[in-house]
Amino acid sequence: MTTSKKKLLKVPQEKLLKVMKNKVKNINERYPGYRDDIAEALYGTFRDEWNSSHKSSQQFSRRIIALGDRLKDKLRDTFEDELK
Amino acid sequence: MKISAARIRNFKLLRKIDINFSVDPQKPLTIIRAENGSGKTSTLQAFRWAFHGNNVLEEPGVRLSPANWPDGKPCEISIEIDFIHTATSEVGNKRMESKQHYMLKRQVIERPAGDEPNKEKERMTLYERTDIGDKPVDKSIGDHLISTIFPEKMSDIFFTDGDVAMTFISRRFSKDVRQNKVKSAIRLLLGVDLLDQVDACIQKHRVRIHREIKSNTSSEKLKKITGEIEKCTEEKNDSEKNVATLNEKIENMEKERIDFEKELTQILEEGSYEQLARQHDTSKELLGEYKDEENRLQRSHQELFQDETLSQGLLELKLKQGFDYLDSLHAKGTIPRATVPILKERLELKKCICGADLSDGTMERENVTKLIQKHRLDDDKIEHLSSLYYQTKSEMEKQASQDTKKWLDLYTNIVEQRLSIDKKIENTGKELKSVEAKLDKIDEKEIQQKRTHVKMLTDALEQCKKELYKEKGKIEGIKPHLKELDKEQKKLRDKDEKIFNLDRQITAIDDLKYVVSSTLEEMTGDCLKTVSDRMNKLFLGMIGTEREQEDAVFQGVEINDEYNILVKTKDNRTLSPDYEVNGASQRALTFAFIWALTEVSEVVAPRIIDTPLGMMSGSVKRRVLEMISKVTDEDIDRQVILFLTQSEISHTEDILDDSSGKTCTLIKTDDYPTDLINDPKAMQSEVRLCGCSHRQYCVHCERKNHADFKLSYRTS
Repeated sequence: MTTSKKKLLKVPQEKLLKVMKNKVKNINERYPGYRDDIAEALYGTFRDEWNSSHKSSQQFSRRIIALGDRLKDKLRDTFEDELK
Repeated sequence: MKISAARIRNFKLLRKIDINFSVDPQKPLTIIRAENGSGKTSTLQAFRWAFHGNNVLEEPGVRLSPANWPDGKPCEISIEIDFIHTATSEVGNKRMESKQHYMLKRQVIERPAGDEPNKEKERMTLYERTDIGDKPVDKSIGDHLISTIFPEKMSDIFFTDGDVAMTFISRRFSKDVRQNKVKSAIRLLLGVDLLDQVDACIQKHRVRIHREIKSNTSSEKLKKITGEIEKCTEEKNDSEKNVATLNEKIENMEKERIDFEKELTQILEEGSYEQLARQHDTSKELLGEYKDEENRLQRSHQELFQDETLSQGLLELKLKQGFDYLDSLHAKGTIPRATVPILKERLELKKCICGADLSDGTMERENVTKLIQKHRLDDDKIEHLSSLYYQTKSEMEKQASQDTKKWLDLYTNIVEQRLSIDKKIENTGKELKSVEAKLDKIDEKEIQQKRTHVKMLTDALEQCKKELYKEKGKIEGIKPHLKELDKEQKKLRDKDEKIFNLDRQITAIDDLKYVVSSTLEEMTGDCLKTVSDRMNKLFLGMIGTEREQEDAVFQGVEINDEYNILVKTKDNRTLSPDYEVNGASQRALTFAFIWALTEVSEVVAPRIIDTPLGMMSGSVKRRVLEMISKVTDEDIDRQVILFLTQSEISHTEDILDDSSGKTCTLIKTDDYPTDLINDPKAMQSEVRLCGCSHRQYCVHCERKNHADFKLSYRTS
């Protein structure tokens, strides 16, 4: 298998993805790379919904928990860095 | 994505067809020339089936093997499509493109028995073409790739049949159908449906996290506020669900109402029941009057035959003989005779004419008395004859000259009147029968039921709209309150270590929500407006109307809030696309809509169009083709496959020369000898392909109508 899933993390509505990406720029970069993580979570959710995946809700929950955890860790790191 | 080749085997009459497509960005057109009935539709169906399987066929269970395939013999139907997919990615701020070659193969085995296909399970495999050979792609990835680069949901946009495409605008389809078609296409290509789904998913998880906060925090205040948020959110969600349900209900009821109204109109096309009933009564009444008049005339007619004048007229000859006899008696002095009165006078005077005394008791008096008695006997006859002579004769002479004429006039008049009334009776009778026939067709009970149902739907719609308004008001009322609660909750969350994780999740989910909501707003606002503007520009360009032109009919076209495509005139009137916009402009408008939508949404896939230039001629045809084939800077992957008849090609050859990278011709062997000139020597009915371009003909495709076009002979 030479085709990786990573390359296919898309839906056909290019304009929607572009607008979405622009809107992501308006949110706080809560840690470096936060916006990219948000964009990726949305790409994935769009893809799951587009494919009417039955695991869509479960996947979304997983993404939110991961985003929360990363936010917690990154903010803790930042806080610890500041303390040092 | 661009299709580079297709190999079709045993799909209907396409027993063995290999087609190559243009992938040259500067020559985006592939022309498949085919006359009507030469396999265009089958080829189009073959492509649709290859990508999406049975679901996209008009009848999913339909037999696909050739009609003359022997019963019971296994027939392998297969289609292979080679395509190139351009994957884009961003590295830093640089957009990177990589081309991947794939081959899609769909196959099925049928063991036909008459119309029964007896199909085995269909198989679809996607292969990635590499330098070392074809490698099958994992099924889930393959399915996702196809659903992304050639989505079944968008099939109607990319496979355009000239006539079917008209559902977007033509009034032949109900407002509802058109609206839905336009709305679905816009929501699908702009991703509005997708955004709604994701938004709903975010909402659901936000509620879940709030519940978790409530059960994990030790702060009573936070619990209370979160509870309130939860309650408000639930209320808002319920109202939103109600709004969605009501909208759906309204939509369905409107559809139903339109259907009922249409049925009613169809039933009442003969005329309304009341109107026909009135017409029936009037005709019946008139018929009665005419019949009475006919009876009256009949009586007058009969009376006319009982009239003395008729007898006189009929006896005229006999009477004349009688009158002549009387005349002869008169001439002889036989009549009139008046001896008796004279003698009686003399008796009264007691003196005879001769001077003799006629006093009582005289002999002379006795003689005169006897003479009177004698004359009295003879004079009865004479008197009668005299009376006839003086009275009847004169009257009869008068009648003969005047009354007979009058009788004849009366007779003629009555006959004419009777003829006229008979005609009226006949016509009114016919009219009555026709009205009765129409009335028989109308089931009054059914009409009444339908009317009642329409009224019921109208009332229910009114009620639903009121409820909708109420629910929307509720949502608007909750929003600011919820915002306040969110702010307050945020402050409390920050202070509570126990829910630190959940707090972060809420932060992330709120950011996601903001992105989705604002994207949704832009897609349904600015983007939709851009589609409308672009469609307007393309349409005006195709039909060759500039706004500034004095004689221009169209001011422009637009998509309104209700997803209707409107055609506006210079005096700001909205035209009905079906009967106020000609066929060519209707098609141009359809293409303008599809092109604008695909351009703005940046959804890229080959556009495969059957008979795009039908009903078009002259400069409009050329401009439409120019628009279809034009390469713009934004077009990174445009490919257009056109199925054209020679008539459609006529007068556009130069544009096709410039824009088409590949051309071929489909021929159906059955067309010999009616249309094809040369015998294809076919053992069975099938569709064949030759390499002739839009300017050529060869021994295989030469047709009788080719003399009408300037084509050159191609040696195979």
